[in-house]
Amino acid sequence: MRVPGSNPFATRYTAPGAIPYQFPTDFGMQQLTDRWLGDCHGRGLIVGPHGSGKTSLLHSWVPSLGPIELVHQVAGFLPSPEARPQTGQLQAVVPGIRWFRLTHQQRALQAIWDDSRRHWRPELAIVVDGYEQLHPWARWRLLNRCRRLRCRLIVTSHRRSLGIKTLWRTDVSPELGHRLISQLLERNRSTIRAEEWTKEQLSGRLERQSGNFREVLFELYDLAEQDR
Amino acid sequence: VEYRLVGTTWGRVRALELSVLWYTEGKGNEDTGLHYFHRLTEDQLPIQQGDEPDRFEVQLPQAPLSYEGSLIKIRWVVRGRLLLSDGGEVLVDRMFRLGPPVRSS
Repeated sequence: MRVPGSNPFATRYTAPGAIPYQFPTDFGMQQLTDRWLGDCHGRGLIVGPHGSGKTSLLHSWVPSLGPIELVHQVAGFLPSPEARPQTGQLQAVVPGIRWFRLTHQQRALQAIWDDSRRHWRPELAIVVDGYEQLHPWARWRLLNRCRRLRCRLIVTSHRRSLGIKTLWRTDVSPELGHRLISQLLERNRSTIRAEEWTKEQLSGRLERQSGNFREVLFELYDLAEQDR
Repeated sequence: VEYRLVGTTWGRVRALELSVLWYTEGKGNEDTGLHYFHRLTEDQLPIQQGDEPDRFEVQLPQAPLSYEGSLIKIRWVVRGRLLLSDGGEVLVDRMFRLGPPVRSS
């Protein structure tokens, strides 16, 4: 819903979950699930630079896997209501999901261990957003516990991690960025036209921000404010 | 606050939620505050359809006042949320300004 005077690049429109993750044309959620349960044996890593859509992918994909039992986080923002408990087509395969968003290493780590003693069981899917923030010893311990308890695992990280097969690489190309911006402007019926930000300009911005589309959206927020 | 339900098939409506709330909008994390909430279930739904509006009253607080900044905005809205029996919903926000009266010069 558009509010008069809203900035189309405000967090409420751009936060993970607000924009559905967009795959290349020949790939989708079902293929990702098949790859996760097949090639990756239920333990997969989503890797990509800052602001490239890792958390957005989690928000779009994970709710389709089954009911989310817990969204645990230490700081930051909660996933959107759409990403909270929902039933999905793979409910019988994945009986539950526990989601951890890591923004503070020590406390989050303790929270995972405390939680695991009480609730973890075979085939439960553990989602850890921000896996690289864990100490290598903690990552090993988490992986080991998942193996021992036969839990499934989905993690996101800025870099490849040993021990977990790469499930998906996130990347925002200038074409995709332009499409997302057009959708944001269209959805908000903004008076700003997407053509004002050409693919070349967007490409330059993405390059300056090292592929961080979130930072590009912040820049566009400022530009939109100047235009008001 | 006056409102009307128009174009609704009554058998499809499960509940109506009326709320008055504020939220922040901007570049950072959002904040929100619920000031008033009232849920009307199917048997309590307004009888009036069409021309005659239904009404409810709310005493607004002293703060936070509406604010239109570059980095952050504070928005007050009256929100109507119609919950349908098929699981769908219709959400309507009407923004208003909470602030001191504008003085005419």
